[in-house]
Amino acid sequence: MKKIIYISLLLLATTSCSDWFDAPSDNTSVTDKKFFEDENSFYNALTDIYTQLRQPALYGENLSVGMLEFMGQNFVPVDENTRAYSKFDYAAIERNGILSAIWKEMYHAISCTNKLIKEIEATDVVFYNKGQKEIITGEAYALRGALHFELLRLFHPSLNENPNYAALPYMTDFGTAVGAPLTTVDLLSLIKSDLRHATELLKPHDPILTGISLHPITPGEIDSRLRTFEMNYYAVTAMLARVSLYEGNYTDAFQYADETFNHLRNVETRNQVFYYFTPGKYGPDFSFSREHIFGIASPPDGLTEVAERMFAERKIKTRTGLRYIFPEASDIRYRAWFNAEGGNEYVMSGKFGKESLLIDYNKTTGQETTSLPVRIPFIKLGEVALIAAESLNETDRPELAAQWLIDMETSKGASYVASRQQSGTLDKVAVREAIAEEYAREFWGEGQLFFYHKRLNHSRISAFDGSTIEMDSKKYTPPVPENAL
Amino acid sequence: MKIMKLNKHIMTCLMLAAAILCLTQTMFAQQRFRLSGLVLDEKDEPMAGVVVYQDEPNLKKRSAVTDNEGRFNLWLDSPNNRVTATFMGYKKKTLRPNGKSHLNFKMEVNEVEMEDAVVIGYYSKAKDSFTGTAVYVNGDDLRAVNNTNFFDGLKVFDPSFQVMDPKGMFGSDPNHIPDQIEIRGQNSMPDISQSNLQTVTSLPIFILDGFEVSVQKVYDLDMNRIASVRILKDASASAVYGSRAANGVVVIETKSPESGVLRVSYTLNCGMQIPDLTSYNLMNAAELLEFQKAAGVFDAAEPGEDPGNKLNSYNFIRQEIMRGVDTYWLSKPLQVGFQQKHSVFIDGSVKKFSKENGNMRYSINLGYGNTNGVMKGSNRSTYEAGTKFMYSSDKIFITNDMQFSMITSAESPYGSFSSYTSALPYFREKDADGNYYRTLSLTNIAPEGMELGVSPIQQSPVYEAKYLNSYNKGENLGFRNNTSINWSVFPGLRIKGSFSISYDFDRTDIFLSPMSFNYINDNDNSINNPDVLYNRGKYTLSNTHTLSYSGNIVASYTKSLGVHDIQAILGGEIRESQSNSDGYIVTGFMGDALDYLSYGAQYEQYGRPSGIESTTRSLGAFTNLSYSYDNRYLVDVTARMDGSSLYGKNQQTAPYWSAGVRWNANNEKFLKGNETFAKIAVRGNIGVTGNQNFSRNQAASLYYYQTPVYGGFFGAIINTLGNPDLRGQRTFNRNIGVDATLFNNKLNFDFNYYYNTTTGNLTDITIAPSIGFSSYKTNMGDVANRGVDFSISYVPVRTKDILLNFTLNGTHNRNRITKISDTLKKYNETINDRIQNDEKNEYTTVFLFKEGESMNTIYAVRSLGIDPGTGKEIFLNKNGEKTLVWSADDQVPVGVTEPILQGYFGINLRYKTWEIGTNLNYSFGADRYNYTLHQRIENVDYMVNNDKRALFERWKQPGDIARYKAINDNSRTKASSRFVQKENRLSLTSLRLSYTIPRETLRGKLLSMVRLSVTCNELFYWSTIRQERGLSYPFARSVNFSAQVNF
Repeated sequence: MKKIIYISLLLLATTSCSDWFDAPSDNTSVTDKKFFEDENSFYNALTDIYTQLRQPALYGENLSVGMLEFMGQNFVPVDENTRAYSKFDYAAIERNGILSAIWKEMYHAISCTNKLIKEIEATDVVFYNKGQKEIITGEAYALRGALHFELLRLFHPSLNENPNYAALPYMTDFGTAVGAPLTTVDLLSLIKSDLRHATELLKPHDPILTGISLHPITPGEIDSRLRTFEMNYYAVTAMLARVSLYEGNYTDAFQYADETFNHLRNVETRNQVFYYFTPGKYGPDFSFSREHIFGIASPPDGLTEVAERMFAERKIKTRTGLRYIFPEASDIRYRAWFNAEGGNEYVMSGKFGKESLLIDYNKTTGQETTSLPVRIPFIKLGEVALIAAESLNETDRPELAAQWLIDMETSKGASYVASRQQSGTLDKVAVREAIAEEYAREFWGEGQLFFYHKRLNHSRISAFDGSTIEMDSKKYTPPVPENAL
Repeated sequence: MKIMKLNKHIMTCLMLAAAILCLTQTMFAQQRFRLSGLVLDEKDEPMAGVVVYQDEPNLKKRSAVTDNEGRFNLWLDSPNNRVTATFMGYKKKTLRPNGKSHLNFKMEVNEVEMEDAVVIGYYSKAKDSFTGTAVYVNGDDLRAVNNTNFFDGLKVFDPSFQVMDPKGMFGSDPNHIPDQIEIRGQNSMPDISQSNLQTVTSLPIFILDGFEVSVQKVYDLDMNRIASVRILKDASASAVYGSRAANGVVVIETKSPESGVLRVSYTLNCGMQIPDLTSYNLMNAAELLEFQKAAGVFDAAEPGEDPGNKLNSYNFIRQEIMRGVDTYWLSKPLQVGFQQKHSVFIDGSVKKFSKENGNMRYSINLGYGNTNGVMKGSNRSTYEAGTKFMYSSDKIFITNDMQFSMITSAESPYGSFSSYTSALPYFREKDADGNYYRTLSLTNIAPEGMELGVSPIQQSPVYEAKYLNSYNKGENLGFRNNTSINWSVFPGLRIKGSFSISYDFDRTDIFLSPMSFNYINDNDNSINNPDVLYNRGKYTLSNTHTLSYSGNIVASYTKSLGVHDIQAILGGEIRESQSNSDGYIVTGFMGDALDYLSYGAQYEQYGRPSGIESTTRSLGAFTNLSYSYDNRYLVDVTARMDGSSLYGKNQQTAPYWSAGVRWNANNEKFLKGNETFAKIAVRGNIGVTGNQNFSRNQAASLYYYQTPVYGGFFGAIINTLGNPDLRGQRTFNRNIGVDATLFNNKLNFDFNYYYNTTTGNLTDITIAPSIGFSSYKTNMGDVANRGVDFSISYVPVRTKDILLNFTLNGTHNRNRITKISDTLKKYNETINDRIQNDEKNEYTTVFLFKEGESMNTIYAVRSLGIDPGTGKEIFLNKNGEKTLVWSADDQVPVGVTEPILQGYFGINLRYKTWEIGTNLNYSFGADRYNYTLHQRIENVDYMVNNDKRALFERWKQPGDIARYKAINDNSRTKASSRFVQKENRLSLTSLRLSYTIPRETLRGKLLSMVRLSVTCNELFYWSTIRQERGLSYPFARSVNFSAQVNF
């Protein structure tokens, strides 16, 4: 009897109270502590961040075909909401809660990366695959940096406009502590430091460098872990190129852009996961998803639905003079993305519409095989080529720059630069011009054109109806939503 | 000489020593006084194993133990020394032999429910030394007031114990278990989530025989088993329950077996319930038609429209009325509800055990109850069986109580009562062949081809109940076993260990027939369509299993040192409750009769099984120290440390405490022995108690698995930002009170003033979205309740034959919100927006959070009444200017639903074996928002039946001074101060007559006691405001007959 008492006392003393109180609560949810006891959970937590990015408030609409494209004047507004975008009427935009939704959801995704980083760096869970832990950690850091940069280029004026503008906090902790707004310069250094840390973590392990997958892929099955669905190593270098160009560091920008192309140089063609589609190769993949270095997977009712609604139902027109933007009819972008509506009016129904599918990614249910719907491009090869070209051109090497542009346009079945090169008129100004033209062609429905104008602080841009808009920092910089801080 | 002298000295010394020695020797020889005696129990049966000892402070404690015949032999130091006999479960008894050598002890059972001890649950305290406020209710008194409903009975004894049903929804529904009970006001704020106000479920905790049980267990408990109930209301009384105590504690003790020969007691309660429809004042067919005509229903809608078709309708309805059609829908689903309850209680003891075996008492209880409510088909049946064993010896007292229960319930197939109050009286219920119509419409009987311009259509509320097999049934199986061991270590120190295990299984089955109105369109469809067939009919099944363990150990030590008395209690408690539930929905039933789950064709389309699995654990340690000086000045301190898995990570334990003082003025010299002031005590206490009204999800960051996949992989999302600092809200209680018994026990009164402040209500607060979340739960929001409660009883006559007793109690409470979070302020804006743009008539009044206002404040726009010229309402906006436009921003507090005073008063008269008594409930000074005026006189749907006043009291023509706006004004009426009325209310809660057949007449017969009684409940209800009550289930008056027979 006494023995039993002693033993139970001993048991009581050794089992700590807090463990005993950590009872499972219900089966629909698990506490963070329990959740992160399993290797898979880290992957689940990471996956969810990607899932968050595809919601309409973010890249599912506003930051892709929605708000940003009207601001970039690519589409003709059809109602009050879209007119507000085109006119940069941020008060009206905010009345629909668009800006605060972007702010809130972006920071929610960031807080999830913070939680993941916090947990994975403290965990003693042993991961089955070598490098898996580093890859997840690397992606989390990369996302944190990348998402902060995405917010920065929206809510801050361009660097040369005002480097000391401070609106965004850089969030690195999961909790209730509020971060102080930092200046663009400070934010950029934090962004780069996170992205660089991500490259260090990813470089030794990311299969995208070697082309060999971590996991065996059964033929016919979707390789869901295909690296271009996630923040892979080259997506991070591409992001670094984007960031470096933003701050005008052409050397770094070129280096990172060039490194991104190493995938094409170092990996056998059959193992390459991103490359230029060439005319006739893309089939129904009208968004050229093989060029996405990182593209966000979208469900059938995601981007496809949004695009169908905008272009098939509401027939939102492209800006006037599309033919002048694509003077060469052989340009596969022109052919694959747009449908003529008569009267020189065009609709971008092809690129993200329901006919646009990912090739090579098939889903087999029973006897039916369906292709996956289009992905949302986050950063793609074309942009990296343009970054490389711009960096070379701005460091006075227009010939080298032209070569990058030619490589890119050749893959699109076009020869805008090549023909000019033959006529021998390619100086720095001409290349700059060619890059600007390419920005107007390459990123339809991706929101990049607005950021291009904003980065270079263009004081006039061409409006959707062909008129000219005088731009200023007020138009370029949406105010921080009320109660956001 | 010198030597002689010395010798002399030595001699004297020696002699002295010898004398002393002699003396002491004689003294020692004298001390062995032999005392023999007998110890008998209350039934004059000898008791074995009783410890008898000499009880003098400075002398050796000599003791003896009684043998099997109850005899003892004890040596005393002096023939008149005090002798005490003790036995577990019996009162300690001290006598003086007064020189006799034989002494008989007659022991009395120390019933824990004795009124002079206050049972806190874990331990009990002498009532004289209790600094807290507790209301004691004897089981018999409770049953006398209401022998079928525990809550309706209990509220009579303490007006601050209130079962809330502010809109009178649930009436006499036998299956409605109270979900909101307030003791001394509401101390939790409603939770808002997604901008919807969640109903607060605030319940006190119920302690049944030392362990917490659910409110449903109390509701279904056989009332004949109850020995006593105590409501613990303030910090000193309830602080020992720590984190669970803030809403009050109700301690229920069940009857214990008494020792003696086998005794069988049978109690029969049977009664009937008669629906009470006096609050309804609906139009009959003719009045309704007149109303509709006056409202312009039959007028041509647009100029130039041919009024012929509408006139057709009017004339046709008129014809119908002339033919005598005037269906009284209200009575259709109703019946006189009968109920019966049979309880058997068998108890006895096994006597004359040897000393080692002690004494064993046992009881068996059996119960069966069946209640048919006043709505046809609504039923609740309870089955109970249990045994209790009590073993006692000189040091050990063991109790084991095992109870099984089964409850089945069925909801009325007639649905909500509100569908009968809106059915139109000019519709016929049945066709010419006596079959019920499925749809109520003029087209049912109108001649073929008749053009009806107005043709209201209603779903017959009766049809489905009459012809279809849809049902909603519930079942509960419960098992509970409580064991406790009470060990008297040495006089003064006792250790009690208790362990309880309980298991409950609940199941609900809801079947909706495929022929139901819900599928009426599908029934007409082609039967070949599998999509229709597979979705028609629905069976919802859900199961819940709950297993709980709970154990506690309490050591109590009492010591008297002259005028100083101390009591020290130290205890610990551990609890774990595991609950899991699962639910499924099956659809696709082929026929009405095929109602078994397996006849279903498929799971509900896109449906998935539901279920929750949860474990909560908690651990507590508590202590109570009290000190009394000369039984005049008392100090009492309680502390409890509680830990729970519900709390946030950083707040897993929380302390609770109380401190109280008491002055027994009647024990002061100047009052002692004065019969006029038999008892006067002043007491006061302060302390902190807690509330566990939140779910764990709010304290932790939880990951949820998402069903959509990202490229073939599941994601797991964090929906809420956990707050590791989250803790239960805390209530700071302050109470001062006076208890007095005056004028030869003729007048008793008890008065308390309290002021309780609750801090740290759980509310959402808005945070910077850059944190990643826009809000999170935190402890913010303070509420204060202050008030008085009192009870007085006066016994002018108390003789052997006659006892006359008057009682009066009352309470007054004022609630005040002292602090709210910004999210709640934001909520006010959201809800104001909604009520402003409310097109669907979803809102009548809304609750707004305002600091300084009560949680029972009514908000509305001030009204100047109806303009006699136009029949339109004139409002006062917030600046005090007249306006015709209702605006949500102009809403101001227009009343508080808390009455100035409410309570009960009663009279009891006993003459010989006859007893008559009554209790009435009064309330005055409360403001009420009369929803009947708002919804059933104005704001009416012209196509349903409404209150008569809609016809007679609405404005009709210019010059009418009317309280209600124009009869043909169909615009939405919104919250207006016109509908706020002062309520003064009186109702007869209980009236009873009982007769006990005198013992003499029963002598020699098998029966030992027969008591017969009749109790009537809710016989009348009178109120200054006329408002419909019992909206979803009508109220009822009840008459109960009860017979108790002991064999």
